[in-house]
Amino acid sequence: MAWTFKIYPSIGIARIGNHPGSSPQDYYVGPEIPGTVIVPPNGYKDSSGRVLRQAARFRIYGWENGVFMGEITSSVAEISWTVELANTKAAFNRFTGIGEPTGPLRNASVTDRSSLMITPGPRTIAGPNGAASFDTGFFMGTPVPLGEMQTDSNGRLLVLGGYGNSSSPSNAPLTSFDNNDGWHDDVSDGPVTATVALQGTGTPVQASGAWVICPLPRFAPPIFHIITLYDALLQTAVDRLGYQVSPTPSFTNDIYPILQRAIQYQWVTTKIGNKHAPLLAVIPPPATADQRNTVFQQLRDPAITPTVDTPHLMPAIWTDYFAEVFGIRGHGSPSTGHWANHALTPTQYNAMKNWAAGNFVNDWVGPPTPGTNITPDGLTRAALENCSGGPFFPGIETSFFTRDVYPYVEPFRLDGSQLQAGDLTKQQAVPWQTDFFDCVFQSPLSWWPAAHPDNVFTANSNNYVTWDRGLNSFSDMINFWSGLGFLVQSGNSIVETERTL
Amino acid sequence: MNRRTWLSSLGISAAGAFTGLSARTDSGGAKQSWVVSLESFRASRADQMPQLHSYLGGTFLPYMTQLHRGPKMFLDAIVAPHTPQVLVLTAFSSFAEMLELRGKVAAHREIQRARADWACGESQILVTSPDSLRFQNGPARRRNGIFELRAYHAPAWGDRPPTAIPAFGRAGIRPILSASAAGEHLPRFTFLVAFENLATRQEAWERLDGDSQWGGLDAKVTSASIYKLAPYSPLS
Repeated sequence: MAWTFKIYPSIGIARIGNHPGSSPQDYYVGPEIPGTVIVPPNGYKDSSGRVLRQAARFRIYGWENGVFMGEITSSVAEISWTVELANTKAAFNRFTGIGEPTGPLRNASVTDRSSLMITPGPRTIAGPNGAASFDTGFFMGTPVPLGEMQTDSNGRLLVLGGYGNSSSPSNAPLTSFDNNDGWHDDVSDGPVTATVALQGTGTPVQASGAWVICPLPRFAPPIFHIITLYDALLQTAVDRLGYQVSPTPSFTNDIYPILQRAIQYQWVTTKIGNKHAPLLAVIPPPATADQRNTVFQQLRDPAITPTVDTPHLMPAIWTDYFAEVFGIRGHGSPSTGHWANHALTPTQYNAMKNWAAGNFVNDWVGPPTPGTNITPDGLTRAALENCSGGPFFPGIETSFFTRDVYPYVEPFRLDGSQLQAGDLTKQQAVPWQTDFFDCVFQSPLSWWPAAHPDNVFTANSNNYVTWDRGLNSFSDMINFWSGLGFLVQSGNSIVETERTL
Repeated sequence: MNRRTWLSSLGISAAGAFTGLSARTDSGGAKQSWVVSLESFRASRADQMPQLHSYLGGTFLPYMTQLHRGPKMFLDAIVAPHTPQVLVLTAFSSFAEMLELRGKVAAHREIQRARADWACGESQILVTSPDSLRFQNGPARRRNGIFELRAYHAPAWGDRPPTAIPAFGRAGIRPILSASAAGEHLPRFTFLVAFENLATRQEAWERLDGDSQWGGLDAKVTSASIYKLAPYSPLS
């Protein structure tokens, strides 16, 4: 009777926040069921306007001789969790674009490279109701806490990330959106492993490991990226692991989410106006072939070389290959008029193509409502669908390495034996606030309006306002990011709330 | 368990405690078939379980006891595809009795109100014979240990599970329920087995796997869930 155990989500997301507490009322657990939006009972901030951290909760599921048995908790097993978090951004390569994954080093003049790596090392908790902090890491001699891990009364793992603290011990200037020598932040990532010993059955068994990323807060939880990290890593599974997707898309599960995400962008950018009216016309299905084709013909074919301009095809977000488009690192010039946009994944695009051709399952009974059951795959999907799946310039939660380079043992599960803590965030901007400040609408395209809204509605106005109004510099974003508002559903609208700037 | 104990659990003891299940045999005098209902009640979160147990033990069970004196068992899932969950096992002497009882329960206003709060998960109907039901009650009732509900796909067994029972016996596995799925396309057999703990469970299944005759029975496990007894469960 051989048991195997796996940790889910296989990639979990714990988001930073500057509320310092770590009791259950001081944080909230991120989405665990696909399609759900978590709104903490008292909001995303505390009474002082500090942002609560989002914990990533990990669970262990068991299979006996290949038969799925269910979640394994401390009521039936002794579970020992080990987590390692690290921030190695400052010791990694300068970000120079997806085409140059081996660029020159950040902080090249620093010879003690380990002094640039915030590596508190692994922590282990055995049993329920434990806690351990990642508080022994340093950046150039300055302590930088990266968060903590806890176990709950059932022996499940909770990981909490950092506090949004970015600084330069040497008072270095902020010079770019992506590579700022002498600076650190406290986002992090690392492996999550566990051993499981069913009560009375002997030797602990190593569970198949997971990974946790602790990136910046998600300020617009009801708005999903048009290409989520789930979509991007699904494509990775298709391309590299031979994962099969249904050749006939479901309207409800495959087509509607793409349409709906595009429609929802109206709440985070002024650029849509009535341009998405054709999307509304194809809901409910089947719509006419002409109506479906009108939508499909607007999409960029992912087979087109990513640096090639297209005549205003969708989605209207910049390409991964932004640097290559302009032949320089950094900003393009609005006057160039380049429209080198980021295509849907081939899987998304093929689904849309089949739908346009009438080859789809019309399973529409109305907008899908989130389920109520927590499932292993659902945990992973819920975590990843709340992250950006592109463009990776350099990206929000993780980088193109995660999509294009790092090895996987199965769909959505990284091969932790070939990775180091910090690898999933090391290519992100340092500090994150500089890129986040810069990733506003950059004519003629947007970057990540689901992560950094360009324009929003307040609760009391029907007019758009700039979401990051009042923040005018990299430094402002570093000092005042927690004052930005969160977007919440309010009736049929999505509005800004809890702005404390 | 002696014969008297399990007979009493079926309601055909001398005391006649479960007269609602008095035997009904078909006209040919063949062995009576019993109908077993397995119904799961799911909670979204662990902190809802006291409320669910309060409903099942405080409202549902007393009403069911008024209506139906046959076997009733309540199991709290500890390893199952969906947790938290309580599995309610009820045995009836016929489909007609089951349907009648279910109708009465569904019409009960307080139960209707309470059920709106709980997601009903899988509901299975099984068919078995009286000698395949080996529950315990009274002093013999198991209070500790675990219970495993295990289903097999085994086309070679025909339409009744006893083919497996000798192999189970050799491995020390003594099901308290052995039943076949009712109304399903594939032959599927479900067993409820009591074990002292996870270790004895594992040892027992390993003994079964090592049994060469069992290996020839061509059975594939399709699902397995592990439970503990809910404190208010009348039977075990």
